[in-house]
Amino acid sequence: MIDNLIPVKLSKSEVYFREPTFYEYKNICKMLLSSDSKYISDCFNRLIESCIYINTYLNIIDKFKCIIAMRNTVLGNEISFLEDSKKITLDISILLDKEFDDTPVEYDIFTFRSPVNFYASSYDEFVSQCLVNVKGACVKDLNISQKAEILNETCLPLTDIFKQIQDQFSRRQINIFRDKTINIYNSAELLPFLKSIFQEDLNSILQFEYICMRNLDLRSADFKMYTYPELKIFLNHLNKEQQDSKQGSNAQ
Amino acid sequence: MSDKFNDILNEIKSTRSVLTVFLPSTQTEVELSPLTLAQQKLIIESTSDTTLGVLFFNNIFYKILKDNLNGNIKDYNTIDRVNLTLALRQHLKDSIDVESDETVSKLLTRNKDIPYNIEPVTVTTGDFTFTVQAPTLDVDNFVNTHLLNKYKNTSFDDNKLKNLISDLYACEILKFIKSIKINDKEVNLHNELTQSIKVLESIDSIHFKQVTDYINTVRDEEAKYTKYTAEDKSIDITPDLFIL
Repeated sequence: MIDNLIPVKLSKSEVYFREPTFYEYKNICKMLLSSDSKYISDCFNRLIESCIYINTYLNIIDKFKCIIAMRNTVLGNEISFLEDSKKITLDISILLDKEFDDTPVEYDIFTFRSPVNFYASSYDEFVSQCLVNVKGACVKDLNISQKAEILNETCLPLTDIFKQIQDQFSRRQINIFRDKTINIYNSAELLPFLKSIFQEDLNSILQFEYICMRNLDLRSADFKMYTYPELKIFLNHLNKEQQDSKQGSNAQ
Repeated sequence: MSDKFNDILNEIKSTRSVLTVFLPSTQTEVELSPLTLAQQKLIIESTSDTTLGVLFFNNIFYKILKDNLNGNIKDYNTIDRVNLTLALRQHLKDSIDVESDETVSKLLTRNKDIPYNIEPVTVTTGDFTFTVQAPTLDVDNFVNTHLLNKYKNTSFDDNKLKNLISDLYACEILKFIKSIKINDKEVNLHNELTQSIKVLESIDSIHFKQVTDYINTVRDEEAKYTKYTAEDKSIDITPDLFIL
């Protein structure tokens, strides 16, 4: 089977993702109803693992860009919000062109870079996620528990390492709109942002699915094939057909 | 990948440094491995505001010292623990606080010159003869564990708190009294703790006066090792010392 693959330009490479199907998008929206940060972070990870082709090392800068690009294919490039009671429409594709600072943080024999997950349940898990190099040896391909084991065997001050990494990362703000910024290293800031741009009202989605089943004669398995934008186009065609036929019968 | 992981792990293990720490009770130096990150994590996680927080910290620290000390932990006492703690802290960071020029290495250097006068004593009172000495780290841990197990999962209402205070008092005495001799019959108190506490509780507290004086002397001695060299302040030997 050939999937439609869409490229996302990352800082040092390009990856391709498959468009999420309507079925996948609906399930993501269900998962995003949660208020548990770990669960939401896992939800975005699952989306990336499922849709990104090529098993490659992605840090949160890369993942952030992938999620924005996926959002753009599912819901379009624009987001709307109220600013001083005025409706503002913003093109979030500009975030894909932003330069994200990923300068390494050196600490003794270790090199740390942006973590691999949007959320870490503890400070030592966070430090492990950021570890990329030990005494000149690249450890990006080790899993987090292996990295944790390596760190656990060293005699360096854990809290100081954590503070130094956090200190660097907390300065890395990305401007979104006017004076509005976001720090992708702060899960309390980032996850609500991603959730708000990715999630649609579940009732509306279910109602849309119902309309598709009723009017397009689709079965539940079909929603695993079609994307949300494709179904919207089908319904638009149907509406147009119905309007044309109504106009035709009115003209007679 | 597993080879790479093991190679890095082995290299890190092999390049660990060794600290040399002066111990007052033996007036000798001992080798001690610095805290690993995993051990630091254990200490930080032992931070707690609970009533038994200090005992819990001491227990964690005992396990760490047992692993890191190049020697038999039974040979060292609670006064030695101060220097061992300071040495582990100094390896991570020498300065103590931002408002002061005091450093841990200054304390450790000064501590070598503190005269050590704590020796075991025999106290005879009424029909009892107590052998009293500063608790070894082993005994300290044994008694602390007993208390922690007894009050595990206990929520402290006023009544339970009274019981705990009474147990803490009895256990503090128990740590220092190695044995009791009554009418030529000698009982080692550090073998079976529940029975030993019962024995101590059955003795009129007037007989513990000299023992509590001795305990105060030892605790005062421990405190000397934590004092700043140039200011009237002391380091608190708590998990916070390792949160840098």
